[in-house]
Amino acid sequence: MALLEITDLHAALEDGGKPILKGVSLTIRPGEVHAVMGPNGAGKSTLSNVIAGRPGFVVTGGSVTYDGQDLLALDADARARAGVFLAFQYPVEIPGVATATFLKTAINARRKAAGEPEIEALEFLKRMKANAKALGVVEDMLKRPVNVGFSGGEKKRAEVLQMAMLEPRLCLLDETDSGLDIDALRVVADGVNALRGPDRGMLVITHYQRLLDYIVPDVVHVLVDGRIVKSGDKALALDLEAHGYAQFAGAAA
Amino acid sequence: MTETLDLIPLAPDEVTLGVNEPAWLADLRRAGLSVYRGQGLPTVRVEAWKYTSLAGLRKIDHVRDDGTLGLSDWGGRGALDLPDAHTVTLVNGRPVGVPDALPVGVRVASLAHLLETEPDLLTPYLGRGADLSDTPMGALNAALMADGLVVLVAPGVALDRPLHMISVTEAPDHARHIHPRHLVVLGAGADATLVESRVTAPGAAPTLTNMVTDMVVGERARLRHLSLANGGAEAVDLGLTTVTVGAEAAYDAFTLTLGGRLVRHEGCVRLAGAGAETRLRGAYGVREAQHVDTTLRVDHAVADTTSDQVFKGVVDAGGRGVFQGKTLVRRDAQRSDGGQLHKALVLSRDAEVYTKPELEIYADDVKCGHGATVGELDADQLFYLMARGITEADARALLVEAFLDDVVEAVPEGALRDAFLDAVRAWQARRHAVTWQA
Ligand SMILES: Nc1ncnc2c1ncn2[C@@H]1O[C@H](COP(=O)(O)OP(=O)(O)OP(=O)(O)O)[C@@H](O)[C@H]1O
Ligand SMILES: [Mg+2]
Repeated sequence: MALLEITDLHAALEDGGKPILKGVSLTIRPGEVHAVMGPNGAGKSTLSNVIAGRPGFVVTGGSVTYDGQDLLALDADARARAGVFLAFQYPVEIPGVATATFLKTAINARRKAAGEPEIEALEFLKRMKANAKALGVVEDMLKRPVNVGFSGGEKKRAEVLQMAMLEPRLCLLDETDSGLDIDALRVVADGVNALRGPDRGMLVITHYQRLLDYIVPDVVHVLVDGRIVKSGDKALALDLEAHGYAQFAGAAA
Repeated sequence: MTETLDLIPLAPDEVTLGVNEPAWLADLRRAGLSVYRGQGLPTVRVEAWKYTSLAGLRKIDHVRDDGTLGLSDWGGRGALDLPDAHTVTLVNGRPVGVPDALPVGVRVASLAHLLETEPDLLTPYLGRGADLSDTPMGALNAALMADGLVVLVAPGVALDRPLHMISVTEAPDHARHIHPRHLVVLGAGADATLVESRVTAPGAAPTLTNMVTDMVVGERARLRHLSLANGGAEAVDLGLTTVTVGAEAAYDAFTLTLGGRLVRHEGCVRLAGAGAETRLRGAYGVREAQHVDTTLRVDHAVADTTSDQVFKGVVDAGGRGVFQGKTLVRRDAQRSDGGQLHKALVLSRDAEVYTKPELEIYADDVKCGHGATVGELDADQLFYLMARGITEADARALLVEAFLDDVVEAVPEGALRDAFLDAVRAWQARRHAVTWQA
């Protein structure tokens, strides 16, 4: 069974009703990594937000099934507990909520839903330390409130740290590479690759072919003006790098 | 005998409650009664009571508490959990027993007892805190006060552990009005932490508590005053606290209000000596017909004094929050530093917030400011938390706690802060219960 099956998805802004997604279809099977590329404003973040259940959009047509169930029927928190994880393009700062408290609450919310006991304090600390080390997240950051005072790149590392801690089945990475320096890109890509597995699927949104050198995708989609105008293997990313999106101007219209 | 609060049918002579009361006390009572009779129960036409109506009190027949009730088997519900503190419990303003094991130089006693046995000890302090003509309810307290807690800390003495004062309202039979009067005096260089829990025994009839607390913080002394108002759904809890802070002394207060139908805290802090400081912090949560009014007045009476007021309110459906902050800087109070901030977090459309800041400045070299905001929960933050699997109810609770974080930080870390946070969490959990049922 497909892990994620998007069929002819149409979505519009709740405010004003402007259509953003105009018929997107794609299928991610367990173990696959799909990349989505496309010009600014094409609807890439909207796609990931609609999958994750962000308020502010209305689905006007089509369907999204996750592991066989209707994902659109669930609230954002229930989707996350079912194993969907969105690494935000712009992670949100939450002053007054300690990063560790936040992570523990999130882990326990999932465990509770699965009928499992809460995570042991020691196990939590151990895992957090190990993941933080692997991702180059300094411990001082974990003591701060969620994302507060983190640099752009630090926020992206923290997103991947959260992903590693929550062990989702479907990872949506929205420009996780933007803001990362060259070394950090490598570290974060290693972190993402460590999560690759036969059971897990990923949707990786990026503007840069470079990330896909590290996280090698099975499929690359080109999203222009709310539609997937082309899909192919990783060579497509190289082609885009060389020729840009002008070639799809007609297709989008 | 029932009596309406508009017309206290007592002749001035009948006001004296104790038989052997000293003349100065009888004078104080008479003065109080005459002010109250002249002004009556404050109405919203009185500027200081513009946003807080006591009209509801008129619908209830209250009897004056006669001081005979004991502690019912109420189990401590709603009070802070502070097993390591010196603890004293009061029923309707009357201490039932006093803590033992107090350090030498610290005295904790019943006001009624001291008035009978050592009234001279109280002469310099009692009724010296506020001008009665400004405060009809304070005046009524002066007229009718019967008992309360007296805490005296000798110069240079530090109270080793917090003193936890648990005030329980008992009214098993009918509505009562009670007028507790507390006095806290710290000698020069003394140090103490006073914690208050105010709760209502389950099933109590509606009760008006009209409490006055006078505090004197001697030179170089430091008083931390933390309180939780957690009265029952029908409780009307009016409190006036007057504080005089001496040179180089500090008064740091934290007030958390979560319970009670109508709560008004009036705090009057007079910075009376050079270098005196006060930090007034507080938080409140209101919902479902609750009304919480915080009215503060800081008087920079002399030069080189510092004050800072920060209050935060969480206002849910049907709740009303009022904050009136006044900073007065007298002519000679040069180099005063006074800040004032009220922030309200509104959780529902059906919530009301009123803020009235006031700066009254007669000196020219001062640093004073005020600010006020009213906001809602941040939708992006809420989604971020939910996108990690946290339920909406838990996410809201986390964000509310985060909103209160910087005022709750005023409570010393450890058992004290944990106890206050537990109270906040219990309050939030009650919302979930309500939401879930709906
Ligand atoms: N909340 C919103 N309010 C108004 N417009 C929005 C909102 N969200 C998305 N849009 C609009 O929808 C379109 C698609 O936005 P989206 O963020 O999905 O693009 P994107 O492909 O992720 O772009 P980028 O590469 O710049 O991140 C844009 O025109 C954007 O302005
Ligand atoms: Mg985007």
